[in-house]
Parts: sequence; C-alpha cells; structure tokens
Amino acid sequence: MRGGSPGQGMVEFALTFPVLMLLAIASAQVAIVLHVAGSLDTAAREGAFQAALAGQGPSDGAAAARQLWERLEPGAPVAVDVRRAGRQITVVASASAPALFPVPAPPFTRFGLTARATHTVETFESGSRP
Amino acid sequence: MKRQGQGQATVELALVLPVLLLYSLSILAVGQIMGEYRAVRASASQAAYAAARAPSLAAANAVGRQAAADALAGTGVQGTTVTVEAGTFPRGGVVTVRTEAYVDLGAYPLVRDYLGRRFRLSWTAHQLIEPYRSRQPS
Repeated sequence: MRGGSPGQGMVEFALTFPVLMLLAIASAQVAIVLHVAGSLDTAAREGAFQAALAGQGPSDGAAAARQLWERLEPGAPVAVDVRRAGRQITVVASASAPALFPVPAPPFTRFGLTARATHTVETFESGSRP
Repeated sequence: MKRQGQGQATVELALVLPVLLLYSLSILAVGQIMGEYRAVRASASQAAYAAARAPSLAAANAVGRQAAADALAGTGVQGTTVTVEAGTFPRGGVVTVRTEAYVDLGAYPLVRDYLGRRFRLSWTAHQLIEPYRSRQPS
C-alpha cells in the first residue's frame, strides 16, 4: 500500500473475494455430497440386510431402507429398488444431494447419487449347529 | 499503480494464481478420491457380507467377487484387485475381503505432482461366517 493509490487494496479485495467464496462453497459442496452419499450407503446396506433375513423379503428391505433414510435425511426423496436374483438380494437406492449454489444448468442443480448393496439370503439347514 | 510500475499486478497474479489453482484442483481431486473411496469400502464390505452367508467355499468366493465387482461398476477406480480369504470356510469362522484399487489423478495437473498420479485406495472387511449357514444351496 506504500505507493499504491488509496483504493487499490479495496479493488483487489473486491476481485479476490468472489474467487475465495467460490472455493469455500465448492469445499462445502463436496462435503455435503459425501455426507448424503454416506446416508444413502447406510440406508441401502440396512435394506439389503433386512431383506436377506430369514422370514423377510424384498418389501421388508425396501421399507427398512426408506425408514432409515427418512431418519438420516428427513424429507428428502429417495427411490429404493430391491431385486432378488437366486440367493442374492440387491438394493439400489437413488437420491440427490442439494446444491449449495443452485445454477440452473444440469450438473449444478442437484447431485444425483446411487448406492448399491448386495446380500446373500439367509437359509437354514435343519439340525445345523454352530 | 502508477508509481509502483505496471509489473506489480502481474507479479502478484503470478504469485497467487498457482496457489488458487492448486486449491481449487485439490477440492475437485479430494472430492473424486472420497467418492471412489466410498465405492472401494462398499466393495470390500458387501463382498464380505455376501460371502459369509454362502453355502460353500466355492460359492463364497464366486459371490464375494461378484458383489465386489458390482459395487465398483460405474466408478472411476482402476487396477482393482479383490482377495477373498475364508480358510476352509468353517461355520463361525471369518471371511476377509480386501479390495485394492487406484484413482488416476492425471486430470489434476498440480495435485498429481504431490499426491502421485496413481492415488492408491484399499479397504479390508471382516465378516463372521454364519454359524447356522446352510450347506445346501437353495
């Protein structure tokens, strides 16, 4: 500032501030997306676990996944698809993370996320012992 | 600006630009790495879950590998190796699944110089083999 004109510092600040803000928003956005991805993983895994228990089926798994998701991310929409192929139960859960700074262009409005969880269906053998 | 010379702004920009570039590319790279790490963790843990309830050792290996591959489908990880270790697959034993892979950071110019071009990720999951598992596939 010694030799610069009086307003120079302010002008430089005004130029730099938006860039720094953008970087701060970007880091927060990454954190939010990862957080929602973690919730979705947990819900899908719980759904697969419940669906694969003896005496329960795909609809129980879907209900369990939805219920856990509702507790982790209240009010957020989620799509849960539970499929059984042979002895495998697969839960595919899809949801989206909110954009902190919504720009009306497709990749920035919402961040779509998908989680898959696979589990083997429990079967009992009569007379089995540990 | 007049007294300090035209070069000052250019010098300042030259000093600040690499830092800002490194910072913004780091955010993107860390975002991608964490996303891929999520897939690697899911791969190992789901493979262990699925394998622990399989009827036989062969089925456990097949099902574990399938589950691990399914979890990594559509992600950007490369050089994946999955090891399923279950010993003789006794009831009450432990299945250990390890997934190793790397993320190619070639798209992040400065970041790849300090994190390495191949950022290695791995996860090991253990799961108790169902004490009451069936030995007959149904």
